Amino acid sequence: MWNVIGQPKAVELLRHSLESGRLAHAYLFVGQPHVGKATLAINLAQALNCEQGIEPCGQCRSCLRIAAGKHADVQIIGRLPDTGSGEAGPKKEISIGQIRELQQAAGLRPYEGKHRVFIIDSAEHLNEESANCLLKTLEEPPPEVLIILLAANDARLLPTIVSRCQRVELLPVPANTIEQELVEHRQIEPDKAKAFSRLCRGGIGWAISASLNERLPQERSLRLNELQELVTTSLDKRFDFATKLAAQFNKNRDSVEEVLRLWLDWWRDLLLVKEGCAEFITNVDQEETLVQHSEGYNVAEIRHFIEAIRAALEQLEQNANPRLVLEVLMLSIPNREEERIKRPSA
Amino acid sequence: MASQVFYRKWRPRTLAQVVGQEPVTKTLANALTTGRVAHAYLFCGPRGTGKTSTGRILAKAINCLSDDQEKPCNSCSMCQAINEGRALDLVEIDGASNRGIDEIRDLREKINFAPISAKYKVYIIDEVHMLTEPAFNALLKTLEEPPPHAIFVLATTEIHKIPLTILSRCQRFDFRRLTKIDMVGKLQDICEHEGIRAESQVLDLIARAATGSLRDAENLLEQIFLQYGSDFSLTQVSEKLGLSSDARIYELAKHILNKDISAGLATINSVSSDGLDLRQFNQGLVEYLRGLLMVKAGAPDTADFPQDVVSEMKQLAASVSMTDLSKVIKLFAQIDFRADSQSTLSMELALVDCSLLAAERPQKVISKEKAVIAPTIDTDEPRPDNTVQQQEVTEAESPASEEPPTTKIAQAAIPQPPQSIEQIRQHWGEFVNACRGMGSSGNLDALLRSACEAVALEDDTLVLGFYWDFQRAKVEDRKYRHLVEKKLQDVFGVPYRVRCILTPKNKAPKTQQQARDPLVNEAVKMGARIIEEEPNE
Repeated sequence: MWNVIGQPKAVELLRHSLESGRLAHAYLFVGQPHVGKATLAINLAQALNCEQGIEPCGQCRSCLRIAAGKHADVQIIGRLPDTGSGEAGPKKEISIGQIRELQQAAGLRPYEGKHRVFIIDSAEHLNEESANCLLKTLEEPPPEVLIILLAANDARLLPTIVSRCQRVELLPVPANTIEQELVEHRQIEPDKAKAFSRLCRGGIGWAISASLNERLPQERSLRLNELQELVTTSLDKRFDFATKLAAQFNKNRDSVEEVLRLWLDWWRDLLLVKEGCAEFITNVDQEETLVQHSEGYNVAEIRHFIEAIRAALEQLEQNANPRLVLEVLMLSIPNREEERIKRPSA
Repeated sequence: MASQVFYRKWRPRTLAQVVGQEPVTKTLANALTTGRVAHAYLFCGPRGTGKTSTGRILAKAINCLSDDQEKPCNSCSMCQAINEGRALDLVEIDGASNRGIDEIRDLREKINFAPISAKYKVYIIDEVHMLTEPAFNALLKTLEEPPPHAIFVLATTEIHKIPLTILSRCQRFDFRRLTKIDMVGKLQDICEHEGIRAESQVLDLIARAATGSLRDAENLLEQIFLQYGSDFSLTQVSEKLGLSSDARIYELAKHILNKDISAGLATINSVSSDGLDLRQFNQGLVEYLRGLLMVKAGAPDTADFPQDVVSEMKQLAASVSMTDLSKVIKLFAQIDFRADSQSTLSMELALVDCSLLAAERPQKVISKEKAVIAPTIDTDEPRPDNTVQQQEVTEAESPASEEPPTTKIAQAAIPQPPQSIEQIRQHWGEFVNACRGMGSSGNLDALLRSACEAVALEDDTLVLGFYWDFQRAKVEDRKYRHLVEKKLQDVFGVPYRVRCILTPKNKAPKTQQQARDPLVNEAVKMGARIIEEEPNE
């Protein structure tokens, strides 16, 4: 049984290829985070190694071992944990050493299953050396080897990598499908399911983990509140926040990016509300606040701040001094006109 | 895997099968027949154009055992060994994985041994651009004069990363992107052998999406074949490719040009939630807008749209100005989807920018009219007349008068010259900015910016009050005064004369107003000192 939700097209393609024995040797699964890329890749590995047939049964020893990450022939390659810095954030890149290990392992016959499967998680983190190192193996791997690359954005991969893979696109899962799944199979209350299905923006994985773990949505709203307070606090506080965030950046890059993306979503929502398109906003649970806040800005201000956040994200990626970048961002927060909020009719 | 993918299965096996690279294949074929094979080749070109395949064909051809003119024969034992990848004398090196100097030293050591069964030892170094600098340098001598039994083929997609010393030792062949016709031909060939029925239109579409890389095209064909079976239609393919020739492109274009932002946002979001590729959608949009531009410019034939669409475009194009249209096209064509390809944000921002553009424009036009530097297209009157009229008007007016001039001729197009000191003060910032780059060291604006204010207007003389003697003396100087006077005429359209006086800096209210800016407040709290103030614009 294929347990990827909301990707009928991709599953159909893979199933068809398996049935007709025309599976490619390299796949590239493209889709936003939490959309089900890794689940699909593991499913495919199970299907290839399943003892029952060509469908992943999920019951046999092989399927169970793969699901538990214990199978000797199914390897997931991702960024290694960064032991250098204090916190347990992952390293910035997938190194050439990891790819060389993959090449070596690919040369060996399968140990306990029928096929060796290598899953490269977040392939956009391959650095220049490791990506190039992969090229030849990716083009003509030994028989019985399958390489699956997972990427959120294939525009960041080398074109020579993309051209060697079968590209399978995983689309954002429609909100209704997520809602249905949460209510029917995971016994979540309908209102919660509705909120989660919107908040995750098609990334069903987030919705599921949010429904399992109360802390996730709580943390999210806490962060949002913190960010909203920044708009009205004094410059001192803003700089304090920037310093804090910059310190966090040095330990764990991804978490800072997450915060900024959250903020970006918030301001996009403001823009949408301002333009009268409230039905497309992300933070559905905060619509009232959004409407209220949007009164205090004009479109150009919102537009410019969105650009500022995007610029900050880009600069952080390019290794600019995080503290400077964030402080500049803090300075460009537009002033909300309180009067306009007090008299929303005006 | 049980079966090979198309791009491996249908790799060309003879030079004649390599499509779209006639200059390369012809040269190589001639070299083979005349027996003048060089010892080092460098194949470069974009992905999927046949570099590695040609390298292997070359290796077969020079080692082919048959007596045929046509080499390689693909039937002798040597050719077969190479095809099956078990020939010991064809050494294919992954230059990106074995990129260090140690690997090259190893190669140098082994290259001296004679070939085992073939005539030549062929070294194919693929992805050669990833060799390290020491590795390249270690290769130089061997590459220049390898043993007589060795032939090098280097292949790369990034020729600019290859040192010049390597380039000059190789015969370089540039592989081009394949044309659509070449690609369709090859795809048709594959379809025939695989039993796929595909219209030429479908293959055309695939070839276009592959942008000149045959491997991409073969991959796409295989994927479509796997998804839809051996018989597929044009609509299925365009759906698979995310090509949305649907009406929403026209819809969005209409919303953009009508400045209907909320409807436009709705369109973008509906496209995205239907799972269409926004990049492709945007491309379609830009193409359509370009078509509009063509129609507007009176060249509808270049637009390459069906007749009924063109007539629709004509209507739409009639309602917008050329400058608006070109600005809109620029905004959408510049969208960079690399940052986040799935998010609708980039397109939404471009859309909002269009509306902001419209809001900014009137202001800009006004300021342009104020600075009557050159006659704009809208102005019917030639400029010299205007100036004379204005001059007369100003002279006729009493200096303190707040009222607009009574004798107005062609006032509709001509900006009103400022009649009061208030009006001059209002636009003082603009004037100072206009002075940028003037003076002996281009800093006239700095002398004026925070050092003086317009005090009074006496007849045609503008009195400038300076806070410090230094600046006063500077501007009083005839050289500078002329510049200021000239600029005043440019900006305000009236030939003022300038008189400079010294005034005490009495700007208490203004300082307070400035200090009210929260940024300045905070900075002062942190221990900042105000050195110089710039007028707010």
